[in-house]
Amino acid sequence: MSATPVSQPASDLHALYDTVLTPRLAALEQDRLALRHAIVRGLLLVGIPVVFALYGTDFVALLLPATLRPLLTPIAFVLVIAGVLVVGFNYALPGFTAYLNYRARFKRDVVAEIFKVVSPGATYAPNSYIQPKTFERSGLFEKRGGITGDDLVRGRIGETPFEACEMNRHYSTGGKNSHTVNVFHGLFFRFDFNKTVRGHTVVQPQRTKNLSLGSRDGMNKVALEHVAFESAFDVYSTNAVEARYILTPVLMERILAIHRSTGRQVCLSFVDNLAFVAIEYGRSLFEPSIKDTTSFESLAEMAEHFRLGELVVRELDLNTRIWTKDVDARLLEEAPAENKLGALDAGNLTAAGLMKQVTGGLYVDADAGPAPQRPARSRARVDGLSDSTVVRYRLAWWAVLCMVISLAFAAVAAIAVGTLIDPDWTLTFIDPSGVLNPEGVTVFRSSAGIALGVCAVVGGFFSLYWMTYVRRVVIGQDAIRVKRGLSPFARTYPRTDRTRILQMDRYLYLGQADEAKLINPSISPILRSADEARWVAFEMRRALGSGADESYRTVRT
Amino acid sequence: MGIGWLIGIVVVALVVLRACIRLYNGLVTRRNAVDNAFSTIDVQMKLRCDLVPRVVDAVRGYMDFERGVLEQLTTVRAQATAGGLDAATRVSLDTQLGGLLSRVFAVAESYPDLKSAGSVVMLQRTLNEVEAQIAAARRTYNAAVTDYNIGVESFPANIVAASLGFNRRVLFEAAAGERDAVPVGLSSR
Repeated sequence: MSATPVSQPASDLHALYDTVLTPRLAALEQDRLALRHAIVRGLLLVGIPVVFALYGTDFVALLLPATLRPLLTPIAFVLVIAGVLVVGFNYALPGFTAYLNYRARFKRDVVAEIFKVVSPGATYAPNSYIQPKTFERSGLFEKRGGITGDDLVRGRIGETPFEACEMNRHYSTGGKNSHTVNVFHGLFFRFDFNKTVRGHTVVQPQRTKNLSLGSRDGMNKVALEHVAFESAFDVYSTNAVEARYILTPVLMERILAIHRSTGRQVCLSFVDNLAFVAIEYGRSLFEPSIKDTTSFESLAEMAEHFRLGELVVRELDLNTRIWTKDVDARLLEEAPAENKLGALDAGNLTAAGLMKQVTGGLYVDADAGPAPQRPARSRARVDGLSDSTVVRYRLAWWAVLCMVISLAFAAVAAIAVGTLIDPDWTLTFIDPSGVLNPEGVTVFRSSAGIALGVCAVVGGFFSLYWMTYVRRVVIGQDAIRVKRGLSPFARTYPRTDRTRILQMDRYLYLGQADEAKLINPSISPILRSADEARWVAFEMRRALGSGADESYRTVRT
Repeated sequence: MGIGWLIGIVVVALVVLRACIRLYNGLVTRRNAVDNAFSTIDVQMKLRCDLVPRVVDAVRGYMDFERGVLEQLTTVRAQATAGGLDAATRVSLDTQLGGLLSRVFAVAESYPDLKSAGSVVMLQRTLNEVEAQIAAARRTYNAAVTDYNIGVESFPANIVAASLGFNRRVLFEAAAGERDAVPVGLSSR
């Protein structure tokens, strides 16, 4: 078994910084400045209206005539919304893309180089991390909240197989005073332990800060004889003898040494012949600086973090393999978790490309598999005419129901409006013979305003279903015309602009030709099944001449 | 004496009785923990005894001039597994056994063929394992005994303990030869 070379001294890092990293950081400088400008512009566009809304309106009010002052608050509100929208549409996506590119290039050109010098025998995957189930298996932390991570390092230190990455778990408490609780954010290590471990033993700091430890149900507290260790750590185990078998006096001393040398909260877990070590930092550790050029000190700190694995192996004496347990390298063969967003960025991502990747999972935009048949029961009818293809959709029963409900609410709302204007006339008009319960009439009269509000909201909600119900789509030579609801007019989309038919489950949308958008106009109501949607999409793509497979046979009703 | 006094005395008596029962049960729990911890040591000591014939077989052909050590090892092992021994004798014999085994492996270091023989390497690692387990079991035993002794000697449990025959237990202490005993790897990898 070949031993991995241990890490290189700090002088190598100086040499690397002078010869390799400095030119690379200079090359990244343009990306960093562009990103910083985008962030500053975005903050100004949102910040100035917010500051105006909070502090400026009172001042401006003094300069305006009294009749115009009530308009100030709505204007400030509109400005804030406009700022958010402008930033959202113009800066958020390009800015985020620029950040992903800058971060990807920094990790590829700078962090990976540092890693090569510090741990030449191991591998570094910036967008991978230890499987969340492995993190949970350690039992160290509260099992609540999503787990994310990156910067996975794998290999052997001496004989000992290990993996390490940055892990982050936090959750929101929800409710009225909702706040975010940090479960763990720092470096997480997994080592093949040198002794057989059948139970589960946990070493955790006695006093924790900004760290959520897991439940110790089924474990007993184990009192150990090392006074300094006992005052710094609590030990819980399912087996007191095994806890002492693992935590020899020497090992306790060494855990204290790790604790002292990192100056951080350190937790350890021993289970399934594995040792887990978690070191809390409360921040990301291998990220580039946006404010300034990343300094040598920051890079040296990253190198120190990469060296921590070696420190742990040395201090825990994991390379001493004199017990019956053999080296087990299976942990190096397990597939790591992949950071989905990170996997998209190779350092040359465009905003459109990012959106396409993000929406790619939502929409299907090409035909695949065998040619779809018209389902036996379909709401759609496709007619191929000489100069166009027409897709008609029959009205669904639920759309009719929604129409009836919303009309009923509209009627009640109209009565409420009449009651507010002239209660006596309205009530005499709708109930000339006085059939209605007088008490009910009194209640309605006194709460006509509330009734109007409720009817407008509920009726409006139900009307959305039939007002946006797509009734007909005409795919012509030059444009696609879509009729919705009861409107006699069709909405026209030029074919030069919109050419992609997007399917999402039972819906169809009209996508742009060369750009991916999250929100697209609908070209179908909710269909009966995904198969029906696939068939209609196939017909539409064929009409547009954008089908993936022209060998599909023609399907007409 | 009024009925109030009588009720008061009965209540106090019940409280005292309940306290005594709790103290007694606590002492029993701690004593059982001590016995349990000792049985763990016993299991590990038996494992070490079981190791002896395998060690003797593995090294017999190489270590002619250390024949005396091997014979002594076999004799002590026979005594340790004879049965009917009190705990102190059992522990003493086991300590001797540990010392002799360590000596055998220390001598084996000077025989290159023996040192690299797979079976001997495995035996050495097994011995290291057993030694580490015995050390852990002894520490567990000592922790249990310390806890028990605190119970036996602290007031007011000491009154209950003295009247019901809970005596102080003795801690394991490393024998002179064991203090420096560190597992030695035959394969210095």
